[in-house]
Amino acid sequence: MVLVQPDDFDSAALLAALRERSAGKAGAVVTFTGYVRDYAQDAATQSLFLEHYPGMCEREIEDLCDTARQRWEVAECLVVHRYGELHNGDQIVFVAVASAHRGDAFRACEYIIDALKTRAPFWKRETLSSGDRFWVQQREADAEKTQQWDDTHTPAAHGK
Amino acid sequence: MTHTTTTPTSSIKVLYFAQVAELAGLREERWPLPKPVTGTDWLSGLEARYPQLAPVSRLKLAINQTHAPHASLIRPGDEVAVFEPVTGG
Repeated sequence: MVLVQPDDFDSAALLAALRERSAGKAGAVVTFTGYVRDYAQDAATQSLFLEHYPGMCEREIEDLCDTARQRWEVAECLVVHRYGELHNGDQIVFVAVASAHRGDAFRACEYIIDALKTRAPFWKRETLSSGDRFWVQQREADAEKTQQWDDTHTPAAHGK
Repeated sequence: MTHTTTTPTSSIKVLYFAQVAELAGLREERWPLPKPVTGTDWLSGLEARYPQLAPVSRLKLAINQTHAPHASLIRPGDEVAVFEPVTGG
C-alpha cells in the first residue's frame, strides 16, 4: 500500500494494520521513519516544503515495492510519504516491510527507502531562520547507493 | 509558438516542477509537437525558449509519468515532465 498525503501519520496504527494484514505470514517487520532535519550546514532550518508530482509518486513507489517483492520474500509492504509544508522534527516518510524472515525484511526496507530517494518525484525546498530559501540538491551518495542496489541487490558498503 | 491549434495529437503537455517551475515562471503548458523527437532535441528547444534553464543536460525527464533517459522519444500526445534530480525521502 502506498499513501502520498499532506497529513501526518500514526506509525503505531500503521504498523498494527500491517501486522493484521500479514498475520500468520510474517515473522519479521522492519520499519523506517524519516524526519525533517537541518539540511544546510551552517544555518537552522525553519521549515521545509515538499513539492511532488501527483500520480507519478504513487506509481514509482508502487514499482519499488513490486521490485522488492521480486527480489525478496515480502508478505506486505507499506509506504507513506508526506508533501507540503513541514517543520523541523516532523515525520516525512514511513516504510514498513513484513516478511517471513528478518533478512528479507531488512533488505527490502532499506532498498525501498534508498531507491525512493533517487526515483520518487519529490523536491525539498528549505527555508532558513534567516528567511533564505533554497532547493535541496540530491546527494551523490544517494544516487550511488541506488546504483549499487541495481548492480548487486545488496546495500552499498560505503553508503551513509 | 505557432498559431495553429494545439490538439493532443499535435502537441504535448509539459509539466515543470520545483526549481525548474520557478525558473521557467510557469508550471504547465502545451507545446506543439507534430512528430516524435528525442528528449535531447526537445530539451534544446526548451533551452532556446527558456535560456535561464541552461544547462538543460542536468535536467531529468519523465514521459507519461515514467523516468526517461534523454535519448527517449517524445511523441505527440505525451505528458512530459521536466525537473531537477529528486530529493524525497
